[in-house]
Amino acid sequence: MHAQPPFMVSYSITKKCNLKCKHCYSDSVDQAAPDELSTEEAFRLMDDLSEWGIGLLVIDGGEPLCRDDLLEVVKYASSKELRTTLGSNGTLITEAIAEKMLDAGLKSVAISVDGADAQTHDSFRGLSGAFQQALDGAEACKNAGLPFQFNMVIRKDTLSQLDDMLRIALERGANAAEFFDLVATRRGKQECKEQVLSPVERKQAMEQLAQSQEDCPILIRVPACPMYPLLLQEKQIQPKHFPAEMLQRIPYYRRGCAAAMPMGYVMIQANGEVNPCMLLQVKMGNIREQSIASIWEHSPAVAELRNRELLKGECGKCSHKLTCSGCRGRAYEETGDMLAADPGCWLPLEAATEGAERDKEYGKIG
Amino acid sequence: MSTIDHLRAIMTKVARCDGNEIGMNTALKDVKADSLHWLQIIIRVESDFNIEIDFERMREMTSIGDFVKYIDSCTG
Repeated sequence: MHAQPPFMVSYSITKKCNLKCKHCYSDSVDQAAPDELSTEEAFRLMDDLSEWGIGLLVIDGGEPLCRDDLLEVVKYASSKELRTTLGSNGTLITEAIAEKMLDAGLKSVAISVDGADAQTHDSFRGLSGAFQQALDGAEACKNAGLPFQFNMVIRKDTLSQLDDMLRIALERGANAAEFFDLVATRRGKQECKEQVLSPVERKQAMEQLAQSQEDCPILIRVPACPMYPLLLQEKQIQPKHFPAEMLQRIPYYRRGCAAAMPMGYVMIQANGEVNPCMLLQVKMGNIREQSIASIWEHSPAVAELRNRELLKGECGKCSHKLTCSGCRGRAYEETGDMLAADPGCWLPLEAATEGAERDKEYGKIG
Repeated sequence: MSTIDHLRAIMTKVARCDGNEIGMNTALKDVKADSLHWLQIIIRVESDFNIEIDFERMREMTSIGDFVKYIDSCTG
């Protein structure tokens, strides 16, 4: 028997984008890359994913709507019984396009909203008016009956806006809110590294979101922060609007970082390169040379990542290493070692503080 | 309820599998469930039986019967 396939695969169908976001993990520009998978190659990928038994496919980019054959690919994926969703900046979604995507079999759209106001969002996304266009895109989805969620990046500039961002998601009719903990990778390293939260800020943000979940009628997910579910458990968060067991459906709820883990997640770039995660761009292989299932099974990089006993530093010593493991992408981007301790985790700081306080107490007694 | 009946009920509910097609000798690869369904089945099994499933051990399983025996071994 093989390793369990990921529950979700994302495919960045193009590097072309109409925005120029500061944090872009795919370094997207206004031109498609010359080596992107062709339509036929994308179809073959859909065949392989279907045969592999993949349950959830996210097509993103770049901006996927910049690719002319997007609807063809969505339609083909859906015909192969792949539950297909889209990650989009929302600016190009009109009601007519939303209807076409729905007809093609698309199940939902994740629209990026990176601030509670136009100035915060537009300055981060590199286009004046992008905030309103994203909200208009959401409205178009709503009118067409296409479910959507909001994806939002948590960074220093949005720390004070979390409540308002959640409120906007609710007011606009989003069915989930996904708060991405900013990891500076690719363009983000040059343009917004100073926006990455400190461990203390991260904990405050996560506590706020965990507390918000109690009253929030939609599910809040927090990719790139596998410590978040620890807080949900520690605080025994009981959502009022849905069963608490729904929280356990957050895939990394009990097993930590999902990057390339069995029943976790894997990402395919526009040129067919396979990475454990959009934030952990270590080459596992390329689907032009090897099937995705074979890459999943045989990549040496993955074998290391899946062995939590190999985790180093504080993550290696942590009692939560099997249920959290830290964000492997952040560890890689900040240290160059994907097995290093997650430098964004607040637990070592707290342990050090508690240790110092204990020492102080013992000192008093002594 | 026996473990196989409980598992069959979960798989029928979560993955909308045909319960008549799930028996001890059914090969896991023949179960009509995709990877998202399997994740939901695992989460539900862990919750209902109060166990934690080892994915490495799952690699060694080929049939529903193997899965049932594994659950029973975890619950003692």
